Amino acid sequence: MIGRKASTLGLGMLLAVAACGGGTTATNSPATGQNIGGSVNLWAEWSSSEQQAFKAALVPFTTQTGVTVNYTSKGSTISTALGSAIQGGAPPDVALVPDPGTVQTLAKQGSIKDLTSIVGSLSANYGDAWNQLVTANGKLYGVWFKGANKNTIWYNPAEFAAAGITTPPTTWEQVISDAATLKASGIAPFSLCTDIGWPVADFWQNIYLKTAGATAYNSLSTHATKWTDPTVTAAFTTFGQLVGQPSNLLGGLNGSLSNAYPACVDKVFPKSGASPQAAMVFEGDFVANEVKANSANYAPGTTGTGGAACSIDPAKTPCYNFFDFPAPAANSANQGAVQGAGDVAIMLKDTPQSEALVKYLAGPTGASIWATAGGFTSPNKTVPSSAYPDPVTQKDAQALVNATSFVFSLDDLQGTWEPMMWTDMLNFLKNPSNVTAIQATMDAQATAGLGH
Amino acid sequence: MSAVSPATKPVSPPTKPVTLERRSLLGAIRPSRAILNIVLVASAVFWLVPTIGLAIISLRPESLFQQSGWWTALTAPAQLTLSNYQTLFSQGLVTGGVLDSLITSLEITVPATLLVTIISSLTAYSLVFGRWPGRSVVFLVIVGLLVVPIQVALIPVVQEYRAFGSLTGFNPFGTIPGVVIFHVAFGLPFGIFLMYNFYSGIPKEMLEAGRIDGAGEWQLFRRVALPLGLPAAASLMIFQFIWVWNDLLVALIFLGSNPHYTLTIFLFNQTRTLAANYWIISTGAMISIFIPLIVFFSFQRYFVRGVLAGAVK
Amino acid sequence: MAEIGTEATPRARRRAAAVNEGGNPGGGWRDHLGSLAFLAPGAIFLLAITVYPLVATARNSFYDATATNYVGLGNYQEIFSTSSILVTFRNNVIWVLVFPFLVTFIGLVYGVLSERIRWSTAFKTIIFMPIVFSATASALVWRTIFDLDPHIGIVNAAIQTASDWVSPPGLYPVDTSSGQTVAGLAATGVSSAPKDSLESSSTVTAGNSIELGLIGVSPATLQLTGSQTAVVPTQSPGAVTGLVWRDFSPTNPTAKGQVLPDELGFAGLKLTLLRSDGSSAGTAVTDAHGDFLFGGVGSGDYKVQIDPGNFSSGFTGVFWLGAQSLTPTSSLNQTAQALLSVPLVDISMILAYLWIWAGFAMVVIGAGLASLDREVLEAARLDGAGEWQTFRRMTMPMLAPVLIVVIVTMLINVLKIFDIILNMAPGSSQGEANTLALAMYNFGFTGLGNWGLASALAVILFILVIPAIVLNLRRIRG
Repeated sequence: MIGRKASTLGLGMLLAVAACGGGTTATNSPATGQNIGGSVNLWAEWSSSEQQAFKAALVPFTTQTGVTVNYTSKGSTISTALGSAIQGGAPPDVALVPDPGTVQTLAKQGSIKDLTSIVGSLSANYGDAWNQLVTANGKLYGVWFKGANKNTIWYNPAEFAAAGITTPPTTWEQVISDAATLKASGIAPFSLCTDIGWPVADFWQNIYLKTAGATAYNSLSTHATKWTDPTVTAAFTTFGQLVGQPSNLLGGLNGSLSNAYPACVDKVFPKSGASPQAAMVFEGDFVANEVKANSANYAPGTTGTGGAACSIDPAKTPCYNFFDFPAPAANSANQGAVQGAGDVAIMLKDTPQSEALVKYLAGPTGASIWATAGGFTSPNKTVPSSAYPDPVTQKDAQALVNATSFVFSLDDLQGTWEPMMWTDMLNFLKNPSNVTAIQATMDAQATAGLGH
Repeated sequence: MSAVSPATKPVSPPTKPVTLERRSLLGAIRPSRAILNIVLVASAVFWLVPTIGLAIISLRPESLFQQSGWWTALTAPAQLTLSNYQTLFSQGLVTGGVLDSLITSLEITVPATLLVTIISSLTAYSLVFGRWPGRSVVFLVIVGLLVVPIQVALIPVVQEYRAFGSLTGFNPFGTIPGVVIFHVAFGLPFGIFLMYNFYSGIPKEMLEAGRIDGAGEWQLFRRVALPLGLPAAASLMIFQFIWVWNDLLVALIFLGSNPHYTLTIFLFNQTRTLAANYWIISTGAMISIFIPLIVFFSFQRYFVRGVLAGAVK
Repeated sequence: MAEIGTEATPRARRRAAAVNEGGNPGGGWRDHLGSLAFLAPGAIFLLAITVYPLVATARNSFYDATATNYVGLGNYQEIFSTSSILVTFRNNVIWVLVFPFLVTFIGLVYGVLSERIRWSTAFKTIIFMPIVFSATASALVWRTIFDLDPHIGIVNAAIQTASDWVSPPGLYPVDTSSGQTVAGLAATGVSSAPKDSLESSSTVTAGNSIELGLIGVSPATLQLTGSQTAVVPTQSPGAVTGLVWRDFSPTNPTAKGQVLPDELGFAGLKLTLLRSDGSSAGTAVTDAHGDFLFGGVGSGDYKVQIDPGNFSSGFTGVFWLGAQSLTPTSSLNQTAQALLSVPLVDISMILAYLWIWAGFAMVVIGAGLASLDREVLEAARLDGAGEWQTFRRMTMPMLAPVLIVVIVTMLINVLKIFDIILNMAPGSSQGEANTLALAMYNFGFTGLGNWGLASALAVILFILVIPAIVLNLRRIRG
């Protein structure tokens, strides 16, 4: 045993010497093989099955470096928990937070460490759009690990085929015309998720992004652009082309209002024994998990299992697929803009162990393991496409990696008036003609909530 | 039997034993027996429908949920199955699962109930049989605290827990003791009130004899007051148990990011997070009402007594 | 024992007084120590968790979201100027005005009625049982009961059964409440006609045939009605023949107007042949292939009408848990709407809450009834007082204390209402169903947390509860 340990150590040191020669500039690979032992305290929001997948992703790290990872799941309250822990003087070493706003705030407070000297500029690992979000004062503070694409409209390929739609829409206008075709074929075009309003906000945000562009989107996020701006009105008008026609939505207005997530997904991708009631549903890529949970029969893509045609009956060979949220034809320049979310690693205590972990998270190994397990996409360019288990996830990841601009969910950046924004979106749904009053209300709420 | 409802002025006891022949308050407005029974049977059926519906939903396979209503099972009982329960129980003690939540609920409810009963008895004893000045004022304060809503205490207690944590290193926030402490504090006014009323009915002479013999307060409490007070303590325990078992708000806040849930939080999550499957909700709800139902039916008398005794919660 | 004041010495007098009070002569602080020690645990809990926090919350209500900066009355101003928070006041008012009295009334009725039946214990147990469930579980139960979909919600299912029995839905129901229109079904050679019917766009004469194309119905629905592949109609002298078929082919989506081999006919459609003056010249029903024939047709131009009865959808469900207002406030400004609307979901939740608490009212009132002095009532009746008079002037006043206890208890209960709103109102109705306690939780403990505002709401809640505190103190004192 001792002999083995010594030889591993020796091998490790050899490799470390070899790797260290690369200096501290942009690196694609972690400091492999440097067996430093010790432990690192890590917080993230993942629990149950996601936690298991994450832990599996960290196994090579522990094997290579001998560092024990003490992982604590903090659930969705991680940002507040982190704030309290920092105030109380007992933060973890590394944390994965789900919004870049927290990163910026903590960076300005001085509570997290500058990572530039540890991982470099990471320009080879992530697109500019991603790195910008976690850079403050020219310094890099975060390493992206997990990404979520909210730019996806999921559709039931069998229903599309039954309506004679051979290719999914690529412009917003095609979405509207396909909706009419779907109605003619006898199925409701959209199952609109409402809940307390966040899916409606996500939908509208995508429309705003695709019509006004990423720069305007970011400007609206910080309220530099007012909610009474004409671009906002244009987005509402475009949104109204779809939701202003209750026949486009399953169950009309009341049906939509009682449509919570994930029940709205089950209307398009039902469990065995039921049949689909709508053809499309909008929400982020986490919809795929719900679909697969409904039945193992669902095949990703446009072909059923074993190459059979997609069937409407979920007991046979149903399929699921998505198309990128399309921009109106006139705004095709914005097609590559992606709205999404993600988890970014930040370092609160600078130890050799936490540095090694951060470097590992910047590399392809950990992300690839979770990618293969499913339910995970990463904006990391070094993660090979082959790591993803099916064509739908691959397409999803590609959209993240190739995004010409990436914006974070606008509503999550609105702080205290976020729930009011969600209610306003629901109010628009209930009365689309009331858009001017709603815009005025939103602007007043934004001013009050954001302080400017 | 001592004081039952101090909130109402004592009325002279009925001189006739209560029988069915007693003249009804409706007097000559005598609905026929048949109509009366029909109305009340209809009411009883109406009252049972939701519970029975829930039970049946939990016994049907989930795929049937959206296709046909649970009432169809009444004419086609073959569709009933225990598969939902099997699935939930087969998860075992996984954190966040229904069994783990059941245990967490127990871990909170049992200590809270015991502590409230013991401390209420002690405090009530002191208020009734003590001779220190200011007893009546303290009792009035406690009566005043009876209806104070927990909302006024939530934020300061979070702050207090945090301060305690920075002083001693143990922050009760997010832990089971943190929840228990809060429940005990808010169960005390009612508990003390209940025990006070009961102890007031104990003749002081019984303790006097003991005191003259030289017995200390603790001995008097243990040997005289406590055994005599058992019926009221039983009522209090049952009432407290069910109250804490069914609580959502305190657990939501003070158990917070703790990976373990109470049963109520477990149910609440099913409606809020991404995993709202109705088979979990109905089965979990049935499991969550199972224990209170047992407690209720076993100790019905005591529970009702507890409810009657002021019941201003 | 000698009377106080008659002892020989002051010391003896004091001793006698102490004994009379039940005290140990020679007692002092040492005795009190024992009693006070008993008081300690309770005192610590109450002071730390109830009394001090009361003061702290009051203080916090004048501070900002993190409870660090003084903002004076800012939180209170925000509360009374934000319409989404004013909604909570309105809802609490609705609950307070409706629920306590309704539940007491039901409890009284059940209490009185159940006295006279043999199975009163069983009855009371059944009515009382829901108290034992958590409000969370009950809310979820009732959410299913009120579900919009008649396949899930028993209320809508019951109404639908009754409605379908009275006026059965058509074979091809068009759900107009969700925005679909009968006119939207018209495709080829069909135009919409009055009263939600369809008719042929052009006229037809005897001996000819006409093809009517419809869309908007899925193959699955058609298969359920026994429809098969559409067959081009043959002409027949003296008769008007025709075809009603689904003019939609997935393989040829742009080819409209032709009967393609993969298109289905509409089986079972009820048709009427209309003369040019609009009167009926006969009726027919399409066969499995969508073909129809009107026999014995005279000369003249006719139109074929597809009867509206085919498309009636019957009752499709009321959104009982929706936020639509029962009062006509849609044209008012936001603040007025916030204060004056009565959302339907409130009524549904009140019903669920009645189910939970009526048993409590019944049991408490029942105990009060049991301790009523019947002799007095009997005497009054013998004196010639009428039934209603007796009830009003004697029974009710005797019951009054019990009724007040129930009303006040329920009033306090309803002011703090939380679990049932959170779990029963669907996401889209949460805003309109909001109450003070729920808003306090949302502001204080979700999202970023605004402790100042949440504390202010808690203070307001406490102020509303003060009358009950005073009432309780009065009852105990006197």
